[in-house]
Amino acid sequence: MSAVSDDFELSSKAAQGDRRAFSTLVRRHEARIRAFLVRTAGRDAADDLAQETFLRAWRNAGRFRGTGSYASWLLAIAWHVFLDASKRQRAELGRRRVLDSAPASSAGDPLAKMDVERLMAALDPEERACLALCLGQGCSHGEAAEILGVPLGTLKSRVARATAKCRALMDAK
Amino acid sequence: MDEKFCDLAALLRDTQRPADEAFVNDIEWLIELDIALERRRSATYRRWAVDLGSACAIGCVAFVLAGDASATQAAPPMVLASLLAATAVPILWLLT
Repeated sequence: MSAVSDDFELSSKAAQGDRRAFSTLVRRHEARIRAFLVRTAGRDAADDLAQETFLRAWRNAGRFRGTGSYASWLLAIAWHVFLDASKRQRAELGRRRVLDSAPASSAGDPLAKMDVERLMAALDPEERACLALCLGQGCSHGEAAEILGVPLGTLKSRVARATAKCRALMDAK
Repeated sequence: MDEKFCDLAALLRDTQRPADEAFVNDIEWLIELDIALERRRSATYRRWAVDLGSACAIGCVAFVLAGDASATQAAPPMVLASLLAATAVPILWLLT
């Protein structure tokens, strides 16, 4: 059985209230979701947002139709959770970008980690999400566009813009 | 793909790691809590529905009894409403 159809079966069981099936899905996908959120929202906020993502996935398990991969469905939820949290925080703290600050790398090398942190901090949240999906998660442009809910052209231009910004920063070093 | 882009891709690429059991346990606990809260919420809504039904039934019956006219002469919708409410209350009690 393929991983996608296996995920669909587990999700269907979760929709009927099978908590063990949902735990298997969490175990299978948590690393991916947390890595995406670390890149997009920063290390401090990532775990809370990941918990919220899985809670929403549990509540809406019946909505997963199995047309795409379960990971893509979860990443789309994670992106919306991040956007909602950003909106809430902006409302509370005016224009201070708390969630946007200091996204961190999961790489072990502290020097590389600092580079990634600096690079990602220089980008807009949308650009970070594009790079995190296309370069970090290995998603195709089409997949990433679907996850973020933007047209393919927008996604491609964001990736190009983010890459150009990163290159400029790397050249400036 | 140039060297700088390869460097960037290598920096951003997420490494595979085993599942974090502590995180999985946290999610399991959160779901348990969510289910418990949902049960409590629906129990509260049911109770409100029963209370509202009881109040309506009592109110309608009292209105009919307090009227000068007998039940047969009372406005038919009012009699019907009181009968419906009086029937709904025991059913709601049974459902809770």
